[in-house]
Amino acid sequence: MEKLIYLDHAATTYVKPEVFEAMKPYFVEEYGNASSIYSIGRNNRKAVEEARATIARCIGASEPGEIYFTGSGTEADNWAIKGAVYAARKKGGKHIITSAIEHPAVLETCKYLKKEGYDVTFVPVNSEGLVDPADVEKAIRPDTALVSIMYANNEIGTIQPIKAIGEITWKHGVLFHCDAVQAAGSIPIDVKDLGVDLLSISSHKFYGPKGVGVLYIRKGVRLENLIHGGHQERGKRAGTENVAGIVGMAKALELAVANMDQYSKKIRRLRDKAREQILNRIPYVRVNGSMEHRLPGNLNVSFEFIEGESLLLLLDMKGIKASSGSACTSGSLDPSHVLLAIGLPHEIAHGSLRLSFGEANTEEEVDYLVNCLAEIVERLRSMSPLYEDFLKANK
Amino acid sequence: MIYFDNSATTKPYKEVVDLVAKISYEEFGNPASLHSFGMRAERILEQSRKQLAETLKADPEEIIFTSGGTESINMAIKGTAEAMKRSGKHILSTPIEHPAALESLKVLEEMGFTVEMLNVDDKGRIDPEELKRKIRKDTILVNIMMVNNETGVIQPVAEAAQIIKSVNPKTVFHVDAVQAYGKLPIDTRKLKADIISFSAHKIHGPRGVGMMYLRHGTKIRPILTGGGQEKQYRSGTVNVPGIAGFACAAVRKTSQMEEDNRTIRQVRERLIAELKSRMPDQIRINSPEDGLPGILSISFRSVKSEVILHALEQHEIYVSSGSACSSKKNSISHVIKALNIPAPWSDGTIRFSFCGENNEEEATACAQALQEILNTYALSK
Repeated sequence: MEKLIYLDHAATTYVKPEVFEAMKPYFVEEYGNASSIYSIGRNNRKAVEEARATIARCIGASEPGEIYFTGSGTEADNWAIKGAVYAARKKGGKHIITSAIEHPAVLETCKYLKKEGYDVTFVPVNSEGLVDPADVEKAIRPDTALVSIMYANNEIGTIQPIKAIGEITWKHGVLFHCDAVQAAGSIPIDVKDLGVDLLSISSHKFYGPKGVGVLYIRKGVRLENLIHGGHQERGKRAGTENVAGIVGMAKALELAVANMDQYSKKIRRLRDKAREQILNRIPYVRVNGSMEHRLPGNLNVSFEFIEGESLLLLLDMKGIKASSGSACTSGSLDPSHVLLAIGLPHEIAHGSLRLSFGEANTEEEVDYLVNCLAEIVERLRSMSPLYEDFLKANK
Repeated sequence: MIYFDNSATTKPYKEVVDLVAKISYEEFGNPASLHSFGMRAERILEQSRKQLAETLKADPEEIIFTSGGTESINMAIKGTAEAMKRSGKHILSTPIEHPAALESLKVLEEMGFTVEMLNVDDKGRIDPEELKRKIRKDTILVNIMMVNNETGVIQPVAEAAQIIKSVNPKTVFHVDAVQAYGKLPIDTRKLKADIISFSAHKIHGPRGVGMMYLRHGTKIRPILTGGGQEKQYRSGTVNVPGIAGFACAAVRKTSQMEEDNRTIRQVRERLIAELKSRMPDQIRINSPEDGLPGILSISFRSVKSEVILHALEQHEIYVSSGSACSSKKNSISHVIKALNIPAPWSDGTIRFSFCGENNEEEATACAQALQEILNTYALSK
């Protein structure tokens, strides 16, 4: 097999073998419909309820009843936002506050609602990629239905001051949704401590299966449904339960939380090593986003005089799988909205690389990565007329 | 164990489970990633799309993946209404649709759309003439399921499509084919529906995967917004392992459809014959003879369906009292109500649903168990 150095864990992860082992019985033997009332249906129901309890425990929910399974993180985000503002419509709520650097699942949903006539305030971030809670507070109006701020950014990994924002929304009696898709499994989550009302997570970001997500809905919070039909998920989310997927998600999150200390140390060490060596060996490089408030596995660097796409392609040929932005938008040629929001000029934003490290990466892979990067960056720059002009001007 | 509840969900084929496991571990890339590993996942995705399109004689570009039949149906109904609301607010449907459709229609009614229900006869069939009369200039959507999940009645959807298109070519026709796929031929060149909904786990594929056929030129608004996957129609990281499992199941199920249907017909006929000879006066067959062979609805006189269901469970025989989606409510299903089944029968309705892996011996064993149960539990008349 060709060399594979996977540094794109923020896009998606593999399913750990022990996670699939936990799922397998629900494919092979226990295939009853969890909503059927006979015994094999009940075994499925039991498995779903155990998974619900596990996930509740892993994110500090008060009770399993606050956990709702969805088909993805995107669905959880859509549901939280549309469900909350539609429920608030009758009470006159028509304003949403979010940040400029949210995931498209949040941003596009807010834009969709804007077209429907809702007001949306996009609070800015500073050059470190952090939201100032005071900006959120200033934006709150009597008709604010929802604040939606992500826990950790998918491109630059910055961790937002969720707890401080939670105190503000609580004080003003405004619902608070947090997209924790990138944070879950990487850093501890305690919904009660954070003071969030709604929180989204996605299984395939922490070595669980694709096609499963969770929306945490604090007890007492009313949302309108997004997917209508049967009575699954206590009448809140219709559709035959994906039992194997749900069991896999719970197992994966349980493993991630149990091993978080150990793996986050390891991943942080790899990430810091990569950062240090890149800065030492390659000139005209900048690291994007706060290093202090950041996911352990994320590194986002911009190389001046370089096209990110070319860099990705040449890295790919060396077996290194990285990303220029988030996977969702990396197909587009527009520069990342996140990098523009932290103040990067277009041309520098274009030369950016996201490296997201995972449990199985090694020191040797980091050495290999840095060697390849140094060589590729030099080669690309040697072909750049801009770089040539720059060198002449600075002689 | 005798599993006669294949309309609720099916056992995934072994090769489906193996494939899902292999891709989840080895080819787990995100098809939206630009690197070759992502492209490999994209190739698997597009190969699966092509295989599924071929089973429908459709263009792969007309296939959109979702998280299940329910999501497909929600998107078909709400997404069409949203996209078409400037052309009108009138929608036609039938009263015996799946809850995913009925509940979505209810939401639209609350939003100001007019939902009109077509009448069904005592077998649950619609009358194409009535459909013809009821289509108006402002009818934006007609929603009809191909096969009913509780009785197996087959609706004349191809004829309905022709009628709809001849009366109002702008009306969008959505067909819920969740129970029909892999059991009846579906050819999108002949069935002129604009949108068709599908689910993987009803044909031995994985749960959590669904599909929508969206005919070229049909306008629809997404219900999930975000990264713009599936050509902007359905955002969210694409579930490549699940989709590959769906394609694997669909290829096998559609290619052995006739063989499976033969087996299923034998099982069904055996069960009916055994019941008729053992308890001729105690059963009423609700399913039409020309319905889907895999679904058989029978009412038992003067016994509650829950009693039968739990007693059968003691024999390790698994059936359903209605659809799994509504079987938790202790009331008579909306489908059974719509069929006007008389009182001594309606409480004792059981759905038997078969697959190609069942056999006639199982049918005999089931009839025998039912005879014992009725002898024990049937109330005196």
